[in-house]
Amino acid sequence: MQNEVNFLGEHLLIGNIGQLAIVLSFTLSILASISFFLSTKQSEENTTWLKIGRTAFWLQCIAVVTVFVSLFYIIYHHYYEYHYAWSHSSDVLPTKYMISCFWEGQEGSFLLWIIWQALLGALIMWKVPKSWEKHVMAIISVSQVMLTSMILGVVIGDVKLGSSPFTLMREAMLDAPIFQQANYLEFIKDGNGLNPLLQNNWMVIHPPTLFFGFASTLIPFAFALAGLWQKRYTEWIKPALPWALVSLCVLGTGIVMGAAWAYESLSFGGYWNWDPVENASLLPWLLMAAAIHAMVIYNSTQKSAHASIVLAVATFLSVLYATFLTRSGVLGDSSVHSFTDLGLSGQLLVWLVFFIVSSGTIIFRTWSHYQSSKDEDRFSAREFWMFIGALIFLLSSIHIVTVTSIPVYNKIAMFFNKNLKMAPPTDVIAAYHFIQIPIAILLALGSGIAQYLKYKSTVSLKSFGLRMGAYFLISLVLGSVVFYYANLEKLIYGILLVSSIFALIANSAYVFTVLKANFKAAGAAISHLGFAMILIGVIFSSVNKKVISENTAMFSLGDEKTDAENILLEKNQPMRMKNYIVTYIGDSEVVPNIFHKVNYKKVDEHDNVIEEFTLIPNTQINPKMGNVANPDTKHYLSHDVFTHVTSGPRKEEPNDTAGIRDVKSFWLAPQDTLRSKYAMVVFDSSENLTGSEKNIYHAEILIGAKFTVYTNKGEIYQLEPLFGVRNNEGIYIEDRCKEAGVVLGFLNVNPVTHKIEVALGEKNPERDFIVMKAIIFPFINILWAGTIMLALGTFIAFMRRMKLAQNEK
Amino acid sequence: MKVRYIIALVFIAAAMVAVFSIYGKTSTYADFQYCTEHPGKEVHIVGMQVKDSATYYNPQENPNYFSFYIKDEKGIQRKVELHNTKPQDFEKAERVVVIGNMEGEIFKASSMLMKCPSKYNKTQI
Repeated sequence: MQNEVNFLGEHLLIGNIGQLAIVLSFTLSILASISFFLSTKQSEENTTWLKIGRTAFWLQCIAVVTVFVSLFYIIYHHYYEYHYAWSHSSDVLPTKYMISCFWEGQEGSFLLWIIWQALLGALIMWKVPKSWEKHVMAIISVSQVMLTSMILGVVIGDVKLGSSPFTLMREAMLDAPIFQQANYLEFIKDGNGLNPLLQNNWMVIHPPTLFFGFASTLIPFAFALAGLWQKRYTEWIKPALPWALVSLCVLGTGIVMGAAWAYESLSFGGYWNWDPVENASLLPWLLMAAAIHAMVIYNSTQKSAHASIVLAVATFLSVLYATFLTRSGVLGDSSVHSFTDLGLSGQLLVWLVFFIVSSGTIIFRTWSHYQSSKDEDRFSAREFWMFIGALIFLLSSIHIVTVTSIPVYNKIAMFFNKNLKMAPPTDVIAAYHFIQIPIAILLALGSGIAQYLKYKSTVSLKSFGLRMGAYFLISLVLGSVVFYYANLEKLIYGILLVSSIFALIANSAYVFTVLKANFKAAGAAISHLGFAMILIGVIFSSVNKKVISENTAMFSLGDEKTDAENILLEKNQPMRMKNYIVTYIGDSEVVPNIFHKVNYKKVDEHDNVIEEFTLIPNTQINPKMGNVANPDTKHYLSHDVFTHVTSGPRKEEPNDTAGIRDVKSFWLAPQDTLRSKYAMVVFDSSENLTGSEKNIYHAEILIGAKFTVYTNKGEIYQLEPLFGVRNNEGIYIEDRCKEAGVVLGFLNVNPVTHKIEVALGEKNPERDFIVMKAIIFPFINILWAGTIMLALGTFIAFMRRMKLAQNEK
Repeated sequence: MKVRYIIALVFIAAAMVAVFSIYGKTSTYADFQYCTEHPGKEVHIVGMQVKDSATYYNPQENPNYFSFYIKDEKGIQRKVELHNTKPQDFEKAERVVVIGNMEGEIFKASSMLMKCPSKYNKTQI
């Protein structure tokens, strides 16, 4: 049996408080679930269970906040006895990034999700009528049980339930010998730190926004199931719609924030890479958009009740599936930035299956009861095309799920003892574009056309046709001109461009001609307009992005698949890249970052400088996680110039004698000149430095010889080798100019002639250099502006639907 | 009612297209032996860096050429050539996934993924 050790310097109280709060929030969530469930069996007057449920949920909210505060306290005070604080923070981390520590780890990001879900539950209890509250809250509470179980950190038998953020270092690393010592904390000086890539302002707000989006998908799900449960099969749609719109708005914003982060601080040179983690956030957005279209149709026409239910439920399930994908480690080798397995994949899978099976069963059993209007389907009615739109969104998500799940198929096959070895497509982007671009074309066209149709009725085909024809003609002409001049290469991009311009024109015109600029009713049109702008921005900035740092080496690199997109810039040697003259000026260092100054001069065809700017990409020297490069971008209204250092300057040891050759000595008088292979060396004068501050050698005599070095490339450098005498022994301090490949040693001085003896050695000239990649992203601002319009549009729609839902009461 | 069935059929057909569009586009996780037997076929190879082996990157000569050695799951060691820069944290990576095909004795990688020792779950101080 092991001896009990009294460990010194630990702050156990705060962790115990936090852990207690986790256990409390878990048990209170269970209590709330049971109470709300029992409250549904009680009559309208008898509210005992409802009251217990509410109290339990409120207390649970307090417990969750306590967990959050405790963990923040630990991170803020650098209590590295806690594994979470040690893994994700460090002493030098600025406070704003301490918040980011929360979502670097799995436990913290679950915690974030839990907090949002608690807040949403509280809002429901506050705002929603009792008839809905009981059932909806029962479902929310069950979901809260699921999430809190993920951070429980309790071991029952062989089963580990959740992973707690309050695990101590010595518990997390049982075998490490350091924890045999009572004073182990004295050896843990600093935390591991936050991954430098995450030290970015977008990373402070992107995860909370996205997680609110994820958490909020629960509300339409809960309303849908509560509706089926109470036999109010379609009544749930109206109160759930505003929540669904909020969810869509925030999810979209969160996704774009992530894209902006990737664009600003990742090195792949872009904002979207079809990475599984990105896809995981896009899936719920697509499904939510589909669900909203179906729900709006129901509101106006009493059609598509089935689709509303299935899609609202599928949206939440997609969040769970995405969570499973990104957190179970199943993605393994196919994603750069998925979480590692905390041993929770089993637990995640159980919850996923539980929610799929239970909601699936409920839908299956009640399927025949949903009352959809049996009216004839008219091609010329708006709801018909909106429904097609919802189906296309669904199609898009089906394709994304199919490709993203490739690693899952391998796991399933392994379960049947088959080794599938299926890997993602070698050209992932092309595989996605093959389906997603046609889908985008259909969505763009549909979003323009459907606006001008009316619910349940036919429009005058003549005026409708004329209008659509006119818009389409304008788009076709405009799109073709742009396609030709922007050189978009593939026809499919041209078609997408024309469709997007069509959607842009049709939806803008709708706001002003049909709605007479009544913006309160223009939610849909503004969203569609934003969506069209996003597509246009994507076409230009992705298809037309130009790598200007192409390899200019004299020799061929072989085949065409060669990725020669990086260029070597020697310090102070201007290089031409398309219509820029680019010069690497040098570095400045602010620990732990090295900032590389890169000067850009834009020139016209006569090489006249039109404008000049300096970009400062940096490299963070991080011995724990490897060096990390951060790009820098110059933003214009019409385009961005993106610069990323792919390989930093090599720092040379100052007194390395390797590679010095052809050492010869000479006697020189002032103004004598020596020639070396790469430079001309002129002896200017000598000076007595014995009494100067340069005499750090305590020499009895110290003389410096001043030289000017003119390199073959026209640069001028000053060198001053030193010669001295101390205790009757000579001191020789050489000086070198690596750009000129010159090493100078001062060997002797003739006191009579004042001639000096020097040794000149030659090296291969070396310059500081960086290897960098430069990309021009045209019109990327249309993309960002489009996302703002999209968020604005969904928000306006939310306001309107909320009013409508409230008027109902 | 008929219209609905037509829509359903079209949708199912479109979904099939979407799902089976990946058929033939997916790559395979393979090893060097398979690669040598199927030259020209692009595959994924999961390998371990061969420590103490020669990695070559001389940006002054060519900033877009990087070569190194990896060992696949069966322990076969091959040279990999990548026409890109040497990733800054290459030394820290234990496992790498290279995507490309074999040309003679050399694996020509078109891209590469690195799996660094977990940043989230370190078990050593």
